[in-house]
Amino acid sequence: MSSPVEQITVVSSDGDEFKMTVAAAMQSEQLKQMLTDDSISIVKVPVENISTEILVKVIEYCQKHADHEAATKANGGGASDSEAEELNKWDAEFMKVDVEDKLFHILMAANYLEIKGLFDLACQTVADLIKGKTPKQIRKIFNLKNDFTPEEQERLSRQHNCSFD
Amino acid sequence: MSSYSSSHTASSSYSSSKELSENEEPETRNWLDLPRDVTASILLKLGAVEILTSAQHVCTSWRSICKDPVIWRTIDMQNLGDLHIMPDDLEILCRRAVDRSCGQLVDINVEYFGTDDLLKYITDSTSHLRRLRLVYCDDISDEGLCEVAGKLPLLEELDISIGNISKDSLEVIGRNCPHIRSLKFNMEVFRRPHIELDDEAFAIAKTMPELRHLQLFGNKLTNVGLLAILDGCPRLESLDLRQCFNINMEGALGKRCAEQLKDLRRPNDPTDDYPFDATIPDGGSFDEDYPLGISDTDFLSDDDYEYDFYAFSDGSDISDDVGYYFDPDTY
Repeated sequence: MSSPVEQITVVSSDGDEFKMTVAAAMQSEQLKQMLTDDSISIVKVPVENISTEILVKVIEYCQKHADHEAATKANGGGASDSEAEELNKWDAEFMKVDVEDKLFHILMAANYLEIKGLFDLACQTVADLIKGKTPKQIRKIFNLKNDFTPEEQERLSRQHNCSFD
Repeated sequence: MSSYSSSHTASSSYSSSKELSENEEPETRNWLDLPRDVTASILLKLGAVEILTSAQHVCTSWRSICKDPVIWRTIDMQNLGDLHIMPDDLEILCRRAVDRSCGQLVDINVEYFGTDDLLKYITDSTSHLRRLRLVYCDDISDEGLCEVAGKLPLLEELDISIGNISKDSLEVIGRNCPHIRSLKFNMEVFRRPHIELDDEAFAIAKTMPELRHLQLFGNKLTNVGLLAILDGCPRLESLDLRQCFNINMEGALGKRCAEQLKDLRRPNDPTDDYPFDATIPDGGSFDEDYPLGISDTDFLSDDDYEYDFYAFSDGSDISDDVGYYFDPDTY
């Protein structure tokens, strides 16, 4: 019987090792399943697809949210409105990242590690970048090519009577 | 030590070639490399209008996702009052969204537009509707809603706030939707003239025994109606009675509410988290012979109602601040 694990080590794709508290690790469904599976004795977890830079951010998110959950429990259940608001503000600051670089990778990391809160947050951040923008503007932000044929473009534009551009 | 295998159930197109360092050119960050379901998750947060008018025109890959019925199981026609989209166009877009759901529609939100015809179109398309929100839908009538009630056997949550719906619809919905657990039937509140009307409360009490959550902002029910609800909906967990100024929470009824319910909002509780406008129109001096600012049809209904002023109040003295006759702090 192994002694209770209080920390695990995750290893980024760059080979750097980081310690995570169990509480923080449990924010990830992937890591949680491992931690609750008695047949696996964990020492180091390689997360091959996540670079050091992104992993640091992900761990920061997990720790913050684990701390918040613990504090909520200690207060007997419900988070107060101001605590919830504080966390939301923190999340908003946290997500002020480079679209070109970090946002994509954070989204992918959250998806890979199944961190629901971070995944939703990242999706929402991307969606907020899209809202109210024309297709042209969206393409620019995300570096996407307009690969519709001119005929398709014409047809879709007529169908919706909406500005297509 | 056994190392954790890197195989996982999440979508797998994120290959190790995508670990890009900061020095890489932005062109190589290809958002099309996102797994389809991740892109779908993002697009879902846009709402139906943005998907149909913008997102699906970005590229063929996004359009393909935008045609997938999976992302149309929930249709959010949230209408933030963008003036460049007229209600008629919104109706067309909504129908298109419904078409794309291919019968899998589960949850739909319609705000500030919508007709009985649209409602019929929606309910004809699916037998799985669980959540229906029709808010500020002036053109949806009792008739229209009653007609489609039979097509909502799985309905669990209904929000028909700020519309022209009366107790008639509530009864028909209640009888046709045995699984209804959450009802929001909010109204714009008018203090003057002072009307008491328990019909809606009675309809709910009679036909919705499975209710867990009820929001009746601005309703004209009295303690009689409230009691009926508490009796008729024994599983009620949360009840929002804000701006229901005919309710008197002192005494046994108030106590019973506090005991029976997990979450209770009292008539004078703060309204900052109420999603609609909670300002009470200033009706000037109190005069029951001169109806002011009436827009809800209840006042014009044939239902019996009586002007009944609480004995302790001298009608002409009622000010907008009714805190004097019950004090939430006593609970």
